[in-house]
Amino acid sequence: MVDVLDAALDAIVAIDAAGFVVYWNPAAERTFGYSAPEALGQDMAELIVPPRYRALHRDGMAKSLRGRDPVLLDQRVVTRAIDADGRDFPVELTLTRLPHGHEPHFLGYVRDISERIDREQELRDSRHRLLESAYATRRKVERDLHDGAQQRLIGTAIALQLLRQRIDDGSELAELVDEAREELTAATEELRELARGIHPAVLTQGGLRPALRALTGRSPIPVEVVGIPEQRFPPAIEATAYFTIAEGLTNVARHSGATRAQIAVALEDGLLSVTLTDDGCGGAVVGDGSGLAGLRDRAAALDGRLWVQDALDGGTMLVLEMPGSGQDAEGER
Amino acid sequence: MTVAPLRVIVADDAALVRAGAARLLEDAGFDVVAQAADADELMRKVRAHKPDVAVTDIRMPPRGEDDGLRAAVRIRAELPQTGVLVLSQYAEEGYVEALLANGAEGVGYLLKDRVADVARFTDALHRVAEGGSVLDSEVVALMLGRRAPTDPLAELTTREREVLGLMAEGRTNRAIAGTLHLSERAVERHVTSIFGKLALETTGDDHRRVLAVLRYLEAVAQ
Repeated sequence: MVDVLDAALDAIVAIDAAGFVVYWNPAAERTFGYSAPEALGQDMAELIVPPRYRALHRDGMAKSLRGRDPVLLDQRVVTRAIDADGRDFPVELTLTRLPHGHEPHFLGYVRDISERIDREQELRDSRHRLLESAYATRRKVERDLHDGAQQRLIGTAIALQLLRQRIDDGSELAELVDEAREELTAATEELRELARGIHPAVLTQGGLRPALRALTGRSPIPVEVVGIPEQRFPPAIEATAYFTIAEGLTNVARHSGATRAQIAVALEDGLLSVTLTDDGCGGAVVGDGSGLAGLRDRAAALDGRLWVQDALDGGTMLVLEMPGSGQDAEGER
Repeated sequence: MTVAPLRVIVADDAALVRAGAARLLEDAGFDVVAQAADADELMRKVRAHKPDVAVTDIRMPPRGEDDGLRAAVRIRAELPQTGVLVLSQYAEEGYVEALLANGAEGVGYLLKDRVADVARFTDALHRVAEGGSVLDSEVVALMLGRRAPTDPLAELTTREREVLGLMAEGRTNRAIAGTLHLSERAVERHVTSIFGKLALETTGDDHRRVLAVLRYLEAVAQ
């Protein structure tokens, strides 16, 4: 039996009822940096439990001696351990208890998961960076359109106007120029809407408050806005909140049959919540491949969540929650 | 006796638009005393020339944000005799609020592509130079869009909304009639109906008419 434990890849540590080490396999030697002879007979807590958890550990041991099972028993939990060099690292721990009267008392299976945790963190960080860069690209495209094509179209419209002023009314040429001007006006309007959809300048410059208010002005149904914080948030947070509400309002207008809607934004305990409620038919879901599914991914990239639920009095509630590390508004503090 | 032409400064970082607008204005009999490519240059030249009106784009260097808008607000504060007409690629209420924060007199806000509509552009310049106000109909439409369902604005017909928007731009009944292809008499009927529905005092004075509409929209926006 001991051979099997010796060959295990996970560190396995056994302790007696008083908490002293009675078994220490080779994997435990590698994980914690103590050889078996060094570890055997030592107080396990002093060896590998970080000081801040020791009281908790001893309390659990004492309870188990009085016949009560430790909370952690027979499940996989993530906690922290320290090794001989004092390195404090995350571990996955499974604790089992042997039948009464047996020694050792507890058997612990410990796996160092610091690499996995690091990888997860890297993944989270890189996903966050991808989102940031996607938003930065959109901002740049909008700015390029504003400084480039949009200005050129307006310049061209002015040139056509100057030309038109030099042509007599009623001539064929005047008609052709007028047609061109009408087409140009339509193109300018289309490009303006396109640029706004890519990334509204008002969001970059003024933040959520003016940007969301501008959205409500364009909604075909009346929208009430409640409590948008004045402060600025990181660009990715503002953009995700904005595009979520924009997509939500589009859906409300298209599918819900609602007659009114409400946007509420609140920052509580560092959590920014953005809610869109309508009085429509309800029953909405975040369908795969829908606009909201993409926004759900963006929320997740910011360690946030997005979901829809039926509102209390019918209708639909779209909720976005994100950790909102707010920045003070310009000029404050 | 001839009336002296209005003295105007045009500011825009896009050279094509700046030069084109200046040319249009000169063709229309304005005196373009200077041009500026950024907000700092605009401030310098406005202080030096003290024009009747400064026309400025909102998004301009040096910061590339709302520098033109900030300059416009400063001009109104420093030089009460100089009106400002702010041009914007986008109709945004936030810009309008910032612009009107210290009063609506001698202040105008138009979408930039209106510049190519000479009558609209020059009407706006004259109005602002006289201390009047001009608000682009697109912004009015936005403000109307954010109405509450119980709001009297909800009772306006689509046509009346269009007329209200053009009224806010400071346009005369005749100009509105031209834009909407209506008779002047029809426009008068719409105006009377709008003022009735909104319980506004009717007035023949275009400037007071704009102010009444603005005040009403601001009250609704709160």
